[in-house]
Amino acid sequence: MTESLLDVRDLCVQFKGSDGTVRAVDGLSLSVEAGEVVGLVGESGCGKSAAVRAIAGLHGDDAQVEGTVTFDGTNLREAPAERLRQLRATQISTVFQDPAATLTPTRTVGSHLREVLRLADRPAERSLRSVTGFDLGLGRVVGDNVDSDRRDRAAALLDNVGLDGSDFLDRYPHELSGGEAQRVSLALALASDPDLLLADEPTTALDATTQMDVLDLLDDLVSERDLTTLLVSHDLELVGERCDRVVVAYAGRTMEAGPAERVLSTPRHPYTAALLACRLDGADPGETLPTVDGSVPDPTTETAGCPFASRCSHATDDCRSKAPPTMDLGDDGRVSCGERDAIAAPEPASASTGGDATTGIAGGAALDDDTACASRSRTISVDGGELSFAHTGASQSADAGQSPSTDRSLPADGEPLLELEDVSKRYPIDDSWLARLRGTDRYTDAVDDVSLSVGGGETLGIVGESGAGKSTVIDLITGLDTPTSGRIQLAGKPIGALGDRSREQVVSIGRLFQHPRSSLDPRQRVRTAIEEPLVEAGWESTRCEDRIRELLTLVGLDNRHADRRPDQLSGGQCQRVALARALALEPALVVLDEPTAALDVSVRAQVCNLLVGLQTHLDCAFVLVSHDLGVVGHLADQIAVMRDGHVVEAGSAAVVCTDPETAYTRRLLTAASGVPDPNPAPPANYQSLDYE
Amino acid sequence: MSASRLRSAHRAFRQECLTHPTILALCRNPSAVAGGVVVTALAVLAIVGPFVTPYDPTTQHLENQLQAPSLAHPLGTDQLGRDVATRVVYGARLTLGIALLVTVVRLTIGVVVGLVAGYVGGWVDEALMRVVDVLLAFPGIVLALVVAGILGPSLTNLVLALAVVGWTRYARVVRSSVLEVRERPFVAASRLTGASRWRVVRRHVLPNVAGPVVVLATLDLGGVILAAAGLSFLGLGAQPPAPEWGTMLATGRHHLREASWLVNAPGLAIVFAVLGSNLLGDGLRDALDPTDRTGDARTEVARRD
Repeated sequence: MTESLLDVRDLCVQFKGSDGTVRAVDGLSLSVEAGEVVGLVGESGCGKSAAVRAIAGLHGDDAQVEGTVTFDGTNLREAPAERLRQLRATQISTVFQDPAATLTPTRTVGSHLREVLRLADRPAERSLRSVTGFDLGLGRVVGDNVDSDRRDRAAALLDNVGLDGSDFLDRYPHELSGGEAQRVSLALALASDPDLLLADEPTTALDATTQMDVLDLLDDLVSERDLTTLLVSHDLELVGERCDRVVVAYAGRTMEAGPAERVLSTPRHPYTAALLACRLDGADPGETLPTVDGSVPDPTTETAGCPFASRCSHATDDCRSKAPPTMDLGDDGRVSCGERDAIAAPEPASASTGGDATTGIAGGAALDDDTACASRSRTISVDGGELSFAHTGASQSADAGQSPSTDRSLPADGEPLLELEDVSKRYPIDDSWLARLRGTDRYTDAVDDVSLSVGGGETLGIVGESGAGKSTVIDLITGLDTPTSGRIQLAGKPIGALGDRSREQVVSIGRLFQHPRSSLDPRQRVRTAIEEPLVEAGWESTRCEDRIRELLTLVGLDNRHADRRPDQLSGGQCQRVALARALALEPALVVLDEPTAALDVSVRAQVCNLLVGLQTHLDCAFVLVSHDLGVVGHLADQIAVMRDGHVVEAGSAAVVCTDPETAYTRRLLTAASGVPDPNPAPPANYQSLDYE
Repeated sequence: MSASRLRSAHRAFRQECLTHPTILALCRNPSAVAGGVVVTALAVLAIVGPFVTPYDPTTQHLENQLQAPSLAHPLGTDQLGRDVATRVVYGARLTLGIALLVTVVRLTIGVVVGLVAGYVGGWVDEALMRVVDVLLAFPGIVLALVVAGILGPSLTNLVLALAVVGWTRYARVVRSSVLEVRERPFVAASRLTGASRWRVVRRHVLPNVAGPVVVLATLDLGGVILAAAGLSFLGLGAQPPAPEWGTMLATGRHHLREASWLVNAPGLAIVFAVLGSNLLGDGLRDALDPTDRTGDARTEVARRD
């Protein structure tokens, strides 16, 4: 076996907190060989970021780190701080999740780059700025041509990551889009010509298409320079396609490691299999997706057994009480699981498996009427199958015309439930009286001449990148904003601003917000939050109680969640509570704003299932907005693709997803599938790439 | 039966209180604990003290003039033979009572104005905020002096004068908090479920701006104690023989050379009251600011992941 460039053994990171010790990383081991790209994958809360910080020595003073981290023969854990700093300046680079937050807002891109270059040139010299807190301008006095040389090199670096060097050098971080900012931080990371790149969720905060661009770029740069990379992500698929080897982490421990192809095709650990099965691309539209029940264990509790045992359908008593043995699979890597059967007979996780075929996966939110609470958990129930069947039938009928057998298709003669006619929304950039007088007033058209319609019980998906005007359309529909021109009609009657709507009109449109946690009052308990619309509608308390219980069951929670506050719930649970509140008064239309964007893959599948089930159950119409065509394609009957405030393509979901008209839609489709573009656009001209 | 229910209710209350993150954070903050102890001690003194002391605060005993501290009179007697300790204890009632009343009036006016300005917006906001600006353009204590001077010296007028000048800070703080909170998604979510304006304000906006207001009120209390004592010292507030700390200072200063205890006692009382409420306010501010709550490793991890 060759010498690893980076070798991490039994890494533990703990934080002492008021409510016990938080074991963020709990014995993680991995190794990265020179020239290799290794992916570190797991759900959020699995300690991935804490591990990366500990490896780079960036963990705070409050963290207790144990274990060894060896880089190029040096034990980083015992290296003095100065040596660590020099290593970070020259050999180890890190790219963080939120690109905008990693750039200092008061300094230009060029000055960021020049600092890195200076430190890389003379690693022993401490940055003057870091000592004095400000730049004395000595560089300009001492060596003018060194500085201009660095400026050229900085420009070249920007060119390298597909940005126009001469233009971007003098820009400030707030003048960059998310994708551009991440390109700049990549340029920063590469400026010192490092041997090892630690990329901590480099694309999670970006749009699906931008994510593709940046990952493609990263791919190119890595292969060009033969750069050793540790790529951290929560998206197994995305990472798997681009890595040589994959390490799957759960609750701070290594669950499975091995060659990417092997892990993706024949996962040996039930957790890996479960993660893979949650994918959308293999599933038929509307089909019930396999999910992983439960959530990541509380990091404060110490578990003797396998941390995944509580969510694993193969778990035995041994799994819960004893640490799982680690099996060496030779060239196929290693896996930590005590259940040999599960390992011996791995299911091919090609994810098109609908029902109980996929091992290690529990059924998610099947919507059994009364017994849902009790029976909902371990296996996919028959009802779940029926739900998916009914829905699939309906969505197939959407392009074949009207289907009399389902009530989900558009009524042939009836009015559409919601109709937008030539709706535009224009926001002023500068419309002061002075500007208007001089004729220099400027406006931006967030939404321009958009016409959409949604029938009762139907799902309309709106897709587009951020800035496409999707959120504005939602605000117009829900009445939080009023259109500059055009008409919005609900059941044939025009509706205006929220204050002008009748009570019936207000409560007949429910809305689910993008960030479920922030849409709940942090001081209110779940019960109070769901009760609010009911109380406002004048219900008496016993009726409210019954309805709350009913709603909680409907969204797959139970009564013990009613007394919790939002900070005691997981992201998925918050989303369910928000959904329960939106559905409280049985709206005819529910507007869903990026319902899955803030959620993990496994939770995303749960929420998708829930939505499909709810719609069949309640027969309400959905307007679903997302940047992820995968989610929209799975749930919607009709799809409208938006770009820069216009609808560039509209049609039935089946047609848009299989035979898109515009290049833009094709790009969104590629991005949603997570597979690298077969003909990636050269990075240098990505900005001018014409989609139409 | 009812006793056991009472006990379980008591246990639930303790459970709720002792595990509430704000209270826990408060107990860990040394300045909050110190301030809390001082303020509680003064409050107990003000409430219980008058029942314990054997003397009357206003009855004159001219035979006992200017006695040095002794066992019978732990803090000595004043120029009219009254027990200084008794007067300080009664003064706690008066001074702290005035300060509390002024703070409550300021808070009420300020919160109402701030809420209306922030939530209604438009010209109402403009009008209210211009009034605030005008009031803020005057130095507070000078304006209070003018108001108290015009209204004439009395306790009611003192409260009025201090309340009129001090509510503006509350209005500003509340308004800016409301502007922030009203844009939060949960307010929009509540409106979209058909909640009325009044309900949104009462159930969502008000509770979420309460934190900064409570902090401000506690920090303000010290200033009000000082201002009330100051105005009384100048003869615009409580009138002799009322045992008010500022008034006591004013009359005591004539005998500063021969009987320093006359000013030391009320002076120290003012120092402790102001110090205590400021410390408590600082502690509250740290405890109520969730982003600044140290030692909460779980949120730390969640933020990093």
